[in-house]
Amino acid sequence: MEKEVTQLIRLVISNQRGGVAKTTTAVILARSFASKGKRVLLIDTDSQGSIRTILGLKPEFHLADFLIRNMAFRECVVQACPNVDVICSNRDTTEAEVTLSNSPFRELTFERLFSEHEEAYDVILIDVAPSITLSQQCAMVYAQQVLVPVGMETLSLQGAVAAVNAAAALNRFFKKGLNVRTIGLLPVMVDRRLALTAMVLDSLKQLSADTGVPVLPVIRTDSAVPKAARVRQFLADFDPNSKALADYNEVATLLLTSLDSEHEQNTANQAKSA
Amino acid sequence: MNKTPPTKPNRRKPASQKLAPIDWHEYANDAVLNGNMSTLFHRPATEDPSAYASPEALLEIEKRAPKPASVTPPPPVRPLPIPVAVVGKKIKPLRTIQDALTLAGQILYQAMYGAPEDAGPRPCAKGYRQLAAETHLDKDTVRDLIADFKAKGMLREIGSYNPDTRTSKTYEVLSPSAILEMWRDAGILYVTAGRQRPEFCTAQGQPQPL
Repeated sequence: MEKEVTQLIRLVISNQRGGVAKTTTAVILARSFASKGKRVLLIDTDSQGSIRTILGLKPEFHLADFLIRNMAFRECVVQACPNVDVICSNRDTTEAEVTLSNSPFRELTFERLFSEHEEAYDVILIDVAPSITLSQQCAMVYAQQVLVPVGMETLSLQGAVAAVNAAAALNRFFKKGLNVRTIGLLPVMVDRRLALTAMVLDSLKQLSADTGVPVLPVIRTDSAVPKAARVRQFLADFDPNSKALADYNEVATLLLTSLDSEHEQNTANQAKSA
Repeated sequence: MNKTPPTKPNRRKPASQKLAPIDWHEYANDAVLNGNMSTLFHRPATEDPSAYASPEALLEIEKRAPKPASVTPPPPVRPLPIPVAVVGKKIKPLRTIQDALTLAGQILYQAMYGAPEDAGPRPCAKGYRQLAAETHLDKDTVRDLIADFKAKGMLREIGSYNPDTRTSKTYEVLSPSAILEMWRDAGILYVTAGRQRPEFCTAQGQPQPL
């Protein structure tokens, strides 16, 4: 019997503005993918270490230990729930970036280190800091797919524009073979009672029309999200009926479907050209 | 007498009015359009970016590069004799293993050997496709370069492809210092310079097999 070959999905969650639910999106999406039977690796590259705080994890080793101190991958990974492994970050990530900044081919660091271990996973999600750092460049070169959560305020929109352009800037920098693309703009913390929400959503549609990046289904604002973080639980475990979770599940399904079909199409095209 | 009625003041708060959408170009200043990625163009002194950087990026890197005087070249392992004569070819002394490799070869070796620490020989079980994906090189180029590495004694095959267990062909990749030492022991001190793939040669520019 032929073994089913599933596509590995690598995704960076990025927006150059802080406080737009990047980490929350990464954590909830990781759990959503896991509930659909996918084996997920969640990598936190933000030196604030928010994933560790949100999920109440206490890892012995962090991302910096894996990147620059030659610690084994298994030592740095902690299991947050079945099918979800996490590599947490701490202040040392900044030190790791300084160390890596002088190494040749530094943007390929993640590709070099994580590609050896990706066979054990179906989805790799990378949460990045709200500024363009070396680890974010490494993450984008490695994953080549970027999801941009956008909060319902104006500066978040500016952060989204910067994130889309960061991907384009990387593509311009490299000679060939690199195709970092933004796979979607994800409106989060949407409260339709507010006038600002309608304005930002209209602006997103305009951005989408100009850049060709699709706007994904909205995530409604929900007080269950910060409460789940307060009790150090995944939202799916804290409140399985929350509206934000339903929205995130819908987005997770959409991402899986679209990326899988895209992969199949690419495979078919390659076979045809061969 | 025709008296105009007084205008009724609008009692709605300004914040409750519908807002016009923002044109994203309004936010797209230089920093945003360039993705705030100016650090991308500051490359480590030991790296040759021409292997992967686009022509426009190369120009920008060159513009932003620090003065050459600030870059200290690594000390040679052994003092090299001065070449006596050059017969029709440009040659250069073999100081590091990078001297004997093309730019693509340098990237491939980096991908196969891993982190730059000199930690003895390391096994590499990556396939052509994986190496090609990691290095952004063509698969055929990877195959040719690996054959070149073998010919230069930089790696040797320690395990073959097993279709039953789907384990890939495994190479043992020597460390940079071990490779350099081996070449020195074999009396290889010079390589050809120029646009072609570097080849081992004598001080007079004659080809020298390993």
